[in-house]
Amino acid sequence: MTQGSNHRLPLVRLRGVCKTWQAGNNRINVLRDIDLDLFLGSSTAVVGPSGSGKSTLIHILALLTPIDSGEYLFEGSSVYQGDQWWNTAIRRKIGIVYQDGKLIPNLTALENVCVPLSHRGVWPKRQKEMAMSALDEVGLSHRLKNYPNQLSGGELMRCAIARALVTDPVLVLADEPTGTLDSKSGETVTELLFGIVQPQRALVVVSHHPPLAERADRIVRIKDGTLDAN
Amino acid sequence: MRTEPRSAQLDGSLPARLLCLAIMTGQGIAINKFQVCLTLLTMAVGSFALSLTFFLGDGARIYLWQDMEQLMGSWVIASPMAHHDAEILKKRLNSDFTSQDLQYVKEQVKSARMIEPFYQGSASVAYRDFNRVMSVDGVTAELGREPLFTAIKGRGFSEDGQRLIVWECMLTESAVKALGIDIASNPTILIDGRQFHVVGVTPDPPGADDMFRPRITVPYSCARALWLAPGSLGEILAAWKDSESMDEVVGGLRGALESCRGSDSYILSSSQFKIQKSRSIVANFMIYGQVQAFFCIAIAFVGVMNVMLTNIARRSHEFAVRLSMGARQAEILAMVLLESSMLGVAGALIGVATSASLAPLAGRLLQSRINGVNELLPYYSFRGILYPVLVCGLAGLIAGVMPAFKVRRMDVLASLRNNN
Repeated sequence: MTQGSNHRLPLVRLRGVCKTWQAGNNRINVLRDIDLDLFLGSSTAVVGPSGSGKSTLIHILALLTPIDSGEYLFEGSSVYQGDQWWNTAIRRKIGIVYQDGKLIPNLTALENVCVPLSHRGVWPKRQKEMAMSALDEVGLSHRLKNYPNQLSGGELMRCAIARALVTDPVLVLADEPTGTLDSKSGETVTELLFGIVQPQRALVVVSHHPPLAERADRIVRIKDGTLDAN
Repeated sequence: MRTEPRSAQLDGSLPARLLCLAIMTGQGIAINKFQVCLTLLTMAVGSFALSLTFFLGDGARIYLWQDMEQLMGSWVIASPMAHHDAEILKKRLNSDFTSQDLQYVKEQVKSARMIEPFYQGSASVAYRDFNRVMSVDGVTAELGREPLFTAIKGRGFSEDGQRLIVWECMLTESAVKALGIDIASNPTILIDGRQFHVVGVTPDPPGADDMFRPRITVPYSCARALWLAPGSLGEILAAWKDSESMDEVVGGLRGALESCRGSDSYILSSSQFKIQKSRSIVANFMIYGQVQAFFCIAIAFVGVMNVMLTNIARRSHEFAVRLSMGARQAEILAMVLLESSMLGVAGALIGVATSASLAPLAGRLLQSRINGVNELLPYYSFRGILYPVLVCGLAGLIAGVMPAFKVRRMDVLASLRNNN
């Protein structure tokens, strides 16, 4: 089912996307015939029961796993053509916030935020400036030299958001960003996430948390690998 | 038609990318400090052995061989067979060369530039039993059971050329008191009619009884010259100008000595033989050092591979995160290979630095095994630095290939789920 406006070119367009996993001798159809459009300036919440394929959808959008069939267009260009270089170039336009932050444990908060910049070959001094600015935006300017194990759950997520935003991506994907947080920290993270939606940026949030999903411009429901939207 | 993604705006220049790669690699190395230190130590030992062999080998080649060839020239020395015999004094009348021998050799060996009587001191320190009466400053003293010490200056011409010998001696403390001389005034004394410079005072021999105390101690070289029987020669030196004449001179000398002295009554020692022997010692040292270095580097190679395999197993989650943050797989592979190479190069540099600082000491240890060498100085050649760094760096790089392949086959999603 196709969602979104037909008046603008979508940032992301999925058409007939299918994905299966091999589990022993069985093949599990995780996603079936998914059609989805994501537009700049919009936020989308993906909800559904456990095992319905939400995270797989996020991983497909992040180009971390290939699709079995269908078409994935990013800014009008087809991806998954077997060209790793091209896929990485597209991935660099995407920021990802994982459920538990997935910060690198032996790096400080500042160094973690520098990671995406390091892989883009930004000069270290400029990296530091950009990372400090990103951490300042999420209220972690006082935690620059702290390691992940010295940060609270909320701080970890805010650091992860800073890392996702430091490269100014056009698409931000958040996989259960408030799943492990208490309500207060969850509220802070929700505010931060929806505050980043700009005319030149789209947000996709996977969540079980109804208050978070309700903040999105639209909610997409996945059930048994198929998409339903309102 | 494809267009370049907007992320290209952030893509840095090649130098910036290389700098970032180096920084990320350094961050990776810092994770496993203990294992890294052990590997560095092993690599450093291999590098140490390798660079030391080059430093000393090049030092011997550049400083020693040239000096030795200049100093030694082309010569051969014929010594009586009993020269090093402890019972030399009892046999000397039969074993020492005589003036007649010298004259005969001079007549027979025409190809030599010079044939002269020669004497070189021995470096041995020993007590020898003999009875000899000498006149010291007009006082007759018996030198029985005199302790003989290392030669101070013992090389020169004997008999006719005795004037070229620098006669020096050291006196025991008791002898200084007995003779009542002032050492500070650089005195000379007469021993058996020859003038000796007193160059120092040596403690009385340990455990000496009263019999030793008033005695005079002279260098063995001088004593040896003094003990020569009248008309005896210490050794015969034959020298020539060019190395091509060697076989001819040595052959002639051997023939002449066998004619006048008989076979097995002398030994020949040539400059070339000494140089070759010294070269052989240094060459053996270099081979031994390089074999040792090879084994150390082989062990370090396994160590680097082990460190890298452990590291990538522990860091698969990190690599997956980096890939999801926009890292290219080639960058991750480069990180792994650079990390293993840096382990090799860092170990090599530690080894080279240690080797450079300990090379003079090792040179002194080695020189004690080479006759006629005063000082074996290391030469800090470029290859002594470059080879260990290249070999260890290459060993590190190769050790990183297998871990890099494992990273390449990594399942990103599975690694992302793994939070360890």
